[in-house]
Amino acid sequence: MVTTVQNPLREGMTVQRTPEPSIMVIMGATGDLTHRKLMPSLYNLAVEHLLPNGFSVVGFSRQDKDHEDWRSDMRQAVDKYSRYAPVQPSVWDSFAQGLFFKQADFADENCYLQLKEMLDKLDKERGTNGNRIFYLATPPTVFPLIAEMLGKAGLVTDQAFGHGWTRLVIEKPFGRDLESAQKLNRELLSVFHEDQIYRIDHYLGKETVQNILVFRFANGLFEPIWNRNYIDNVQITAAEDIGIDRRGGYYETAGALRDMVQSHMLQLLTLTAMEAPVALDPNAVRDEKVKALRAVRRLRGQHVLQDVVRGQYGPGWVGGQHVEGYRAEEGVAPDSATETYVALKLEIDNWRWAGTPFYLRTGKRMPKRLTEIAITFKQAPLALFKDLDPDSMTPNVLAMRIQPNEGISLKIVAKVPGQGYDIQPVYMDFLYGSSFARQVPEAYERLLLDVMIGDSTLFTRRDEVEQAWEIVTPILDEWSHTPAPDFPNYAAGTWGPDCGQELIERDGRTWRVV
Amino acid sequence: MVDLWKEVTAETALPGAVRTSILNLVIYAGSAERAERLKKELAGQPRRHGSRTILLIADRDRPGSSVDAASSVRCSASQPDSPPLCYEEITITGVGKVADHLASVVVPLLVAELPTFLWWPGQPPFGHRLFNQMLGVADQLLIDSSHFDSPGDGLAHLARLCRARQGVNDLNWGRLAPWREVIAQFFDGAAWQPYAYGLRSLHLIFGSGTNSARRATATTLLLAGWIGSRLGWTPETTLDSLVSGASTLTVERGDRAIDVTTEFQDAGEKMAGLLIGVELVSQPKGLAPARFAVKRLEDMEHACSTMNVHDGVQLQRVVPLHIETDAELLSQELEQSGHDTLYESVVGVASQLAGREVWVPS
Ligand SMILES: NC(=O)c1ccc[n+]([C@@H]2O[C@H](COP(=O)([O-])OP(=O)(O)OC[C@H]3O[C@@H](n4cnc5c(N)ncnc54)[C@H](OP(=O)(O)O)[C@@H]3O)[C@@H](O)[C@H]2O)c1
Repeated sequence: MVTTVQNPLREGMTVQRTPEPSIMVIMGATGDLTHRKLMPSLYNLAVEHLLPNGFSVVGFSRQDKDHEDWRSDMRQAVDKYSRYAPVQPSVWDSFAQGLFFKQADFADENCYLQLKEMLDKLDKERGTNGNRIFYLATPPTVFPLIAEMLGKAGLVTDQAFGHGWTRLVIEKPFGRDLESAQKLNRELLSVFHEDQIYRIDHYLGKETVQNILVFRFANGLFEPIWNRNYIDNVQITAAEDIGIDRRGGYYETAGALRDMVQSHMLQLLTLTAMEAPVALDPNAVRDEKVKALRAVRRLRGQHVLQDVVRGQYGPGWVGGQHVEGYRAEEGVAPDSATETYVALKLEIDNWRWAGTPFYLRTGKRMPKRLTEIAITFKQAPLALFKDLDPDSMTPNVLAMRIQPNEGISLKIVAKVPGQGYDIQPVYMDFLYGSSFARQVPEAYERLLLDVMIGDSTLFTRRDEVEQAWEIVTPILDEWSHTPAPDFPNYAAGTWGPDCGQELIERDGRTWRVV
Repeated sequence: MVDLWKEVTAETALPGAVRTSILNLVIYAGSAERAERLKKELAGQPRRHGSRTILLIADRDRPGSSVDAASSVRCSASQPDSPPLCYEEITITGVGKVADHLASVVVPLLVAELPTFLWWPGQPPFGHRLFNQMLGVADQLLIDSSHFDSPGDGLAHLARLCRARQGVNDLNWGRLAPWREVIAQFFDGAAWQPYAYGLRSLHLIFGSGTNSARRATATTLLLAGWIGSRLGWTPETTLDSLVSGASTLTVERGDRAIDVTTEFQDAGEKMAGLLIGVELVSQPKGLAPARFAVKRLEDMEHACSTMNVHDGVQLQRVVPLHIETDAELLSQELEQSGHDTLYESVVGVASQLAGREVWVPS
């Protein structure tokens, strides 16, 4: 539910996105996410006048720190990671007056009661009116414990009963498979209502991802041809040039399928494939996304082996630097069978998409960092130009680049000037940075503000998470009882293993050269 | 133009030198000197929008009747690492009689299907034939009401144009946007809303110096017009123009009189006529009195905002409040086409506060 603030001075203003005063409690406030993303984003919002008066943050973590220690840690983090770095001392000082720290043991009920006291006192001093956001920036293993303890301490209140509002933010991974995701959801929902839970997939906070909806549904040109009759195939690529960046411990338990496909890539597929929502409100948008996920054909048994391939990088060269193979990374088993690359072919069984495959590929240590969605249209009938070199007649491709060089390009063919009918592909390119030069806010800024406002459109709903796991879990199951491929099977700095190429080539298609 | 673009493409090392046109910007510079000044101002600022810019110079005193034109393509990097943003600039000088018929020269030069903004620096000659003709080719009129010679009359003319469905963008309104945001933020949240309805006074502080009273008049009218239009204020007295001392305007809401007062303080010539502080006092029925203030800090880049509820919440924070250049404001306004219904109602109330009749079409 979006909270509408009845402020007469807001009436008619074009910027209506203004949150009510609130307190954000960050559980796990000494971690990497808080340092790199949360605090810099909150500071950026302060610089942009987007935080309400009295907005406060309480760090709730096990380390022994006082308010000042934590403020000074946070200042360093903002200095390092904010897009407005270096900090403006006067803005920081007044922002930091609203930062507080409470040392805590997540399992100790007393700590939550003390937290409650502290929040009640802050409400009075800072006018925050009982509005609270609990941000779980901790390992997912402690999510259920924290939720339960918050409930027990009476920290989860319902606005309907005249209290302030309570919201819970959690970070992916939302479970490891369908069963654990369902269990986590049940545990959270025994304390919170679904509309109090904000599951962050930071891809949805990216401007370019939101632009997919605008591009599809605010232009009359593309939607009529956005279907099986005109589109031959869709390719979604999420390539990273980096390895696992000292997150070996986490990555060993995840792998590319869980880390990228279950969340970010299925989100991109959904936004590309979904029907137009009836309204731009949280449930209307998410209803359509869920429908699209439900229509994705589940792969089982033999089909998994046929339509999903995995890889793991060995040593190689990336950007002129020699890099180690995955098995030599910190925290990785020397005989690890964890996949760092996955490519798969998905079919969507509905009237719009039947017969149009969606090819997804993602990998670490690829030649470059790039995320894009490429829509390849069906080839035009060639009767007119049949004497030409057939290679020059390439189909139209519409590529939506999510990162970097955010933009959209359309490949068309044009006549080369001259006497004959020579044809060459040309590109119509739209680059965000060239048409709009205003700074793009970071994904977390957008998402944090949405939580404060109470707009959950860009957050993943329970059924969305579970539908995504329904697609991915049978693949994990099949892999769990088939022998692991002979890893490593691709060199760092290449576009993945041969089986990735074969997956698409056997359909008479090729991966886009990106 | 095609040749110029070929040259640009050949000269730019970056593969993606991008020609983007998302609007036509027609600037009525009037004199050649002013055109040069405007060109310099625009060139000194990274452009946010690709546009075809047409600068108009009227040289009525030269004998004959002719049109001189010069064109160029300018490129500037919008952001580090992104390809340069290029735009076309055409300067048209109407000599003799043509100077009064420049609209006919402009029309064929506009890029079709794109919105056309007409920027008229200073107070436009409302009602004059040339101005009306130029307005006829524009979707959007861009002005800066803080440069009006007669703010009350100017705002009343704008109110009429708005009623006639002309899109208007006022740089002065844009200049006030961060102030309006900080002021509105005081009343976000259910607990604070009654304080907006309970306002008892509005005090505005301006920098003193050259032309400060004239510039401050338009700003006072717009700010009081904004709050007044949201809260249903009606004028009890009117304000034609501020003298450089304290002035008072009284408005009414229900049975309550609300004083709008102004004051000038020395904050250096750069700040002459610009807003440096706002104070609001509120006493809603049954609640403790409260004072809300925003005051520019000495660095002039930040402001301190304070909320002081008697016996209750005392909050203070520092927010960035950068003084935007005209070119920055222009860039922002070029992103807003169509009707700003808020501004339209504000300018109506502002012209009532200035004691001007607003013509209402039957
Ligand atoms: N970092 C990212 O970019 C990123 C991206 C996407 C999702 N996420 C998700 O965000 C969450 C936080 O990630 P992170 O990278 O910030 O993790 P992290 O650096 O390991 O920090 C986690 C925080 O939780 C605390 N913590 C860890 N185990 C605890 C325990 N058993 N009891 C009490 N406190 C404990 C840590 O306290 P100590 O400092 O005392 O150890 C720290 O404050 C995770 O769910 C992660 O999957 C992170």
